[in-house]
Amino acid sequence: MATKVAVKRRKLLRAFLESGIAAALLVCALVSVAVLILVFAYLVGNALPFFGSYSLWSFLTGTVWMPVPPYPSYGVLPLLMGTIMVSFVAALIAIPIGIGCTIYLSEIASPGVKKWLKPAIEVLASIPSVVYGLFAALVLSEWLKAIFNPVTRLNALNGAIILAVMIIPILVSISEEAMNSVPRHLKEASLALGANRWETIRRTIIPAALPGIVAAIVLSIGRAVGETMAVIMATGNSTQFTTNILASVRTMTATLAIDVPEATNGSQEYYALFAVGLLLFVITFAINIIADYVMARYREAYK
Amino acid sequence: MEKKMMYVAVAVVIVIIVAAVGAVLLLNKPAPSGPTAKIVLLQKTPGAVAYSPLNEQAVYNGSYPLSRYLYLYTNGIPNSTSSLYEWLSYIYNANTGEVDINNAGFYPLQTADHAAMVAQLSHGNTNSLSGDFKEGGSTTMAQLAVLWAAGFKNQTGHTVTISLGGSGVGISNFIGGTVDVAQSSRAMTATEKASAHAKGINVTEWKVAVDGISIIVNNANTVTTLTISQLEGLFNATFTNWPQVGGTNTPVTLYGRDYNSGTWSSFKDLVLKNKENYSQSMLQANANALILPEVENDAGGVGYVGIGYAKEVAGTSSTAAMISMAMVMAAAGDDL
Repeated sequence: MATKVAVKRRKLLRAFLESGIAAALLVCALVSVAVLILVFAYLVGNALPFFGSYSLWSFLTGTVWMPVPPYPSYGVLPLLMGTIMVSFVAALIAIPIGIGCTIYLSEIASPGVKKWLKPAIEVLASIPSVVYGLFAALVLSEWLKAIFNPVTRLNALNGAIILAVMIIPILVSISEEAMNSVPRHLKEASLALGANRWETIRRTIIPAALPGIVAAIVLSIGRAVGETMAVIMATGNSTQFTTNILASVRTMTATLAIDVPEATNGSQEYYALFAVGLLLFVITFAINIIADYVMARYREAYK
Repeated sequence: MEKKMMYVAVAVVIVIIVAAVGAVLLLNKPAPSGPTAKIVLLQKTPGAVAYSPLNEQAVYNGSYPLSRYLYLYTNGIPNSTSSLYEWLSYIYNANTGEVDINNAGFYPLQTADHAAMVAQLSHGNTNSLSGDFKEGGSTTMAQLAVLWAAGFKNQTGHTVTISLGGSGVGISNFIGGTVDVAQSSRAMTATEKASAHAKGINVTEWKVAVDGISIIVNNANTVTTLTISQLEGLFNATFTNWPQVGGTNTPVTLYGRDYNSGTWSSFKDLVLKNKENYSQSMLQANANALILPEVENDAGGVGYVGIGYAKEVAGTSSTAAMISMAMVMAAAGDDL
């Protein structure tokens, strides 16, 4: 009798503890959502006053960014163009290398090779971005000068190449996960039907893993859009509106880092920088939504 | 099969490494022996006498058109027991601080200015900060502040922590209370003074040295002299090719500082006299020390730096570039 009561009590205690833990975990999850909402609200709240005194249209279509009194101009296009050029060229360089690397790692490499190659790629992700920036400013710029002879050795291509190196590890680790989760029976069926290894990779594994690979690409572009330190050191930071990849550009993140310390709290420039931040937030948010959507579809396909 | 492929892969990697090392060795030509950039002489009007910022007298009496003061800002005048008092006394001493000013490549204050500053220091009253303190701001003054701080540490044992980021950053940190002293290569603006006042800060200005903002161009450039209006034309993009100001056919590329820099604003006030903005195509460096290497590498490049950073070009050694380059790298991590 006594033991029965004890067991009952223990069960009650456990149920209580478990619901407590579940509640605590829910709070943890809600905190991150709350932070996201607060950041968004803060950005919007501080960007709105800017659009009270400056038209949204001239902000989005202006080609001169010069937040300097007495004649300030807040055209975001040169910065947007800078961000787009640098991150998309970075993606163009990183995608073939990253995907090739992933195919090799997940399908071809022997476990022995994989054991040292994978950590080696992951080390790339742990190098601080200021070190990449230093390398781009001092070494890579010299090489580009020797090859392309640009007018200024600090330019968009310099930033794009260093960004490509920085995003390859992200691309590889996410897309490798996608390739590994292609069900084993698909691969075996393909081989059993007489397809050779390359045909299996090309016709079976890549199509099956494609949504995951696309998500990896989108996420790494998101990372490239958000990178600040390396591009600030590599691209020369001129505010000109240009589509020339060998000209100096300034990205949106670099603008925030450069102009924020000088902006007086509450001035038009201060709010303008929040507007840039909001635009950046919207862009990366959209990129992440796209990645999530693609990933979700891919998960459904192989449930 | 697996093994064979692995050998091939390893061979390819070795080839890539060898090629990369080879490329580095080929491209890293030995540093040229002579200077690869030079200082341009400036004249106020066409036909007037042209002066170099290396001419101390011309910088002092304003014949060199881009002279300016370098400043420190404190909250009130430190009283004679405070470590800020010791700091300013060190700076205004001809045997300590002024030697450092010369070593950093700048010019000490002239007698009258010096006497006025020493007199101001003798009226110490409010600020009684003691022990170690923080100073921050101008990158033009980076090496100067480091030399001062090292000598000061030797003499008094107090540590002065120097941070950079530009004059604007230093002043806003000073107003925000995160540094005790602002170092600035421009005077505080009325707006900044007002917001400091609103926070109860009694802004006290200390002129500490004299600088001649120097215009540097690539050594291959045939232009040796510019008028102020030609300089204005270059930096507002009226002139985009060197023949327009007497050089040979090369497109002009502009190297300047960013918005946080005191040199950015001093140069704008002194040269862009029609209140126009800098050309959009100007590259914007976040430190003086980053401008010289770009101009050395660009036949059409023109840039502006504090005289301490230009002396290296003229073959006069100053500790400027080395120290501040190291500090920029250190500060970059902090700031961003």
